[in-house]
Amino acid sequence: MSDPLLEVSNLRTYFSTEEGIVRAVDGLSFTIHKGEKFGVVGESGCGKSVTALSVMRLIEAPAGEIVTGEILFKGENLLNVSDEEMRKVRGGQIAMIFQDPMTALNPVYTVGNQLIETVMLHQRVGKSEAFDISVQALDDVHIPNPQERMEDYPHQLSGGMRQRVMIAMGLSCDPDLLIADEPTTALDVTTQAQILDLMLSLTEERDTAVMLITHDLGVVAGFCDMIQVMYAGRMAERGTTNFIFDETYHPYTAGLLGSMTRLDEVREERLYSIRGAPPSLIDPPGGCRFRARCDFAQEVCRSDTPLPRELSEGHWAACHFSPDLDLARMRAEEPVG
Amino acid sequence: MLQYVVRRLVYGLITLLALSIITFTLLQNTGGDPLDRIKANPRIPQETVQQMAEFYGLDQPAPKQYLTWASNFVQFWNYPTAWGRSFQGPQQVQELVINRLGGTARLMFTALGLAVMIGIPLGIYQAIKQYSFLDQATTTFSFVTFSTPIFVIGIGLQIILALKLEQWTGVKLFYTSGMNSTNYGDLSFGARIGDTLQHLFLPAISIALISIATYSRYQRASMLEVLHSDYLRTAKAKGLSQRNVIVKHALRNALIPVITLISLDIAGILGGAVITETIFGWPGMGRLYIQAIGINDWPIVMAVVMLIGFMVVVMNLLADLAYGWLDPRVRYD
Amino acid sequence: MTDRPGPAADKTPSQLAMDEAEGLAVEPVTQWHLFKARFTRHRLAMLSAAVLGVIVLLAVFADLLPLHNPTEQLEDETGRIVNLFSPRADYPFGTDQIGQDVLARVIYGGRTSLTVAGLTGLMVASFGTLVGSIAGYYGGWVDTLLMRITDLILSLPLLPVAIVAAAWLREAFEGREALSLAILLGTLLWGTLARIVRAEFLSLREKEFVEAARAAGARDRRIIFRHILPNAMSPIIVNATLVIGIAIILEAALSFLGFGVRPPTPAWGQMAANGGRLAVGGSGAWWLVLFPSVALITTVLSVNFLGDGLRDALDPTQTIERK
Repeated sequence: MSDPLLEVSNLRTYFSTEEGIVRAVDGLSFTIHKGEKFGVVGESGCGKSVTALSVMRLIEAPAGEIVTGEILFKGENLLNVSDEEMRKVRGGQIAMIFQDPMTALNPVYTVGNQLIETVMLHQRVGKSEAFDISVQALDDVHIPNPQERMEDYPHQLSGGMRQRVMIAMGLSCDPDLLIADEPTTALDVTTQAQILDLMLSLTEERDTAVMLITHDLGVVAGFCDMIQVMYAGRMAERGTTNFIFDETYHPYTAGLLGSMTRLDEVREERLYSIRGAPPSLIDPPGGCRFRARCDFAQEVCRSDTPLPRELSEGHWAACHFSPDLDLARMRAEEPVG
Repeated sequence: MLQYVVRRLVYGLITLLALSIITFTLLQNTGGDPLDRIKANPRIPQETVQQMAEFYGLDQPAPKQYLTWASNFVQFWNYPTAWGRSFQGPQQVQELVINRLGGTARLMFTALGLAVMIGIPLGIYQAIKQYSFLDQATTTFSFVTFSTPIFVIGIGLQIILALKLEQWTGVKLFYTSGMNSTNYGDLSFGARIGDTLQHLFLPAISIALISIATYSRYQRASMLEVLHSDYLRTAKAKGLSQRNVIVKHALRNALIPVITLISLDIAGILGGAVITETIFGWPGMGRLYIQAIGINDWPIVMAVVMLIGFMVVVMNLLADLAYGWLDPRVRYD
Repeated sequence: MTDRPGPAADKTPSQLAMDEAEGLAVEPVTQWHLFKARFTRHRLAMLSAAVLGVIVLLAVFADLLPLHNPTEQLEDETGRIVNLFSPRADYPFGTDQIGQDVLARVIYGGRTSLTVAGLTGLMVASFGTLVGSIAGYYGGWVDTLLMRITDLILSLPLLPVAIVAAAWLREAFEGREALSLAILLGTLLWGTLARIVRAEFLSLREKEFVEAARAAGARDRRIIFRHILPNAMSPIIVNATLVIGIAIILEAALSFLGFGVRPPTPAWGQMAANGGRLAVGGSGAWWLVLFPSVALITTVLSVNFLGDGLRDALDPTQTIERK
């Protein structure tokens, strides 16, 4: 494995609300290496997006705050750099694209205006050169007639096209890390595949690392080298894609896999569904946060918080009973009928 | 685009037509003949009254009177006779109203200017510094202000800023009545400006306060919505400075809904002017209007209502065009 | 392999209870719970509801209170009329220029003002809802026609038209000025609500539950009243509340110009207006303008806070709309 690019350790990001303090990310550590495709998976509200926004230092103060932790990017702690330097990192070295391309672009400025703005912000070029770079960026993401599209307003483009513009904008300054927060969730299925292929080929070409956030294990399966499953602000399991899919350690991961439809296998059994909903992250109790929904929960899950353990080379899980659970049963419940 | 403007103007004309018919009908049915006072005078012979009724066309059936009035009214270029004659004497209505138009316009544009220049920046500041002291204070002020009738504000300002202030300090900072002092003609240029402002301030701010409250409240809400929008997060993620994020990306979007609000508020400001002119003895259309209604001098009432309606129609059209200019998503079709 | 723990047997009720107590299990929340939680958090709205309650009770039960007759010229023991007395023990809010008790007039005036405002609110709620639902539900030319009329009403300059209409209605309804004002204000103010209700109906009529009702053979009237309207109640309640505040303000404005409630019947706007004229005229009788104004502003402020709280609680997604 190549050098580490982003090392997050013991990150805690809390939000104060009227009901109490929401521990959205509560002691999370992970590392993304140069050029690595790193997937972050979990249900809504598990802290995926907050993790990404914490890395970008875009947590809205005063409600949200990074309480503790370290975010080393190329060895420098982003939590200690000045606002000025952080702005150079944003968009220049770490770019981010968001879930809903329909709302992520400013409706009152042209695509070209917004692209050129980004280019000129991070590269020492004049306006006409920035224009050329922008046209090239649109061409790179396979937008036809890029020169003409520069004059278009976002509302004149389809969702897929807008997401391509977002990718072009993100990659225009050749960042080291691209954070993609549910980039395909709002798109229809055929467009989803195109966008993912595009992102993969462009970032492979440039050796750009990607942190891909999604709730859809199917999306990360074909894209990522490494997968981190999150639950209630913490890591549940992390490992290479093969490990996660074939040697699952954590009951939550198993539940997610069991509830997934796969086209490449014929299922005779019912889809598994994890009962209940994720817990509120306001003053969560000690112990394992998944226990109320876990089929295997024991007394120890109530009393002790399971810490992440490396159970085999590069494969981590945070469960008291891993790897000794009969998780296969969750993927093969009683046959239908 | 042109088609849109034309269609809007047609709708505007229909509105004005309806406005004129509604107002005319209401005035016809409001008891009291315009010539009541003359009729009540025993020294004026019946014959003269009859002649006067004929002169003003009051002996005609109401629809006929309306048609005569309307066909003359639209020929506004026949100054000063186009809008008919006041029942109170020899004055031509058009002359009377146009003379008063300047007073109302001065009040309206000053109030509008104050409201825009104070209300909008205030709302933006409130949104950026949400929950700050100034935000909370302005919110409270807004609620109290638009829960207060404008005449209470006007009278309150008169009592506190003019009467009491003069009593306590001996300085006459503001006047409570009229548009200029009686010795205005003798004053130097600088003194004239001062005198004008001293007269203008209280009535204008009385009207403006309610609009300031409304604009700041809407600007705050609209700005907050934009500040929490995805595209603003994109702008920050690109590495733009806070200042650029707000000035370039937030402001223009946040202004769009407020433009519509301001255009709708023109009617409110003119309504406020009717009351304020009465309180401050301001020689504008509003006071003329109230006086004319009291004595059923309907040519004056009609002329003022139509002018106010016309201003509202024009301002609404301008606001729509401004909206389209600010927001490329708007298409005129 | 037998020592591997398998899926635990279903949890016992006590275990579930423990999970719940620890906040790990999520119980379903009803609309009513959400409303209550959000509304009670809005402390100002709660306070306003209480204040309004007191004001309404005072107005309703004014007859039972130990008050002077609000329209009687009061005299002292020597038979002199007690005009323009400043506040004192006998007359806590003072007396006016013709010797009427201001406290009694403020309380009875509340009756008039609240009647006007309440009737206006009712008229706007029923008429605006009716027009809005018909336009939104049926669409087509019905919608076009109704919305053209609505736009027309909304584009009239409110106050000038109200003044002319008030002058006429007052004669048509001789002696029942509260009713005439309510009809006037109701007629002028229903447009905004009609538009809001129409927009709600336009989106709701496409929803699955309406399709389902239609497929089940429900008639239009049943669909409108049983299926769509309950879902559109939030904006109706909020708007009707805010209209009450606007009506009180407009009643005051009309009274100030001499087109509202005529003395001797007391009403807040009219009392503040006449008192204000006297105060500026140099009588120094501040109590004539202060007490009715404070009553009026407190009421309208409470209505507005209440409307704000209701909006936050009923419909947190709705942005503020123009009054």
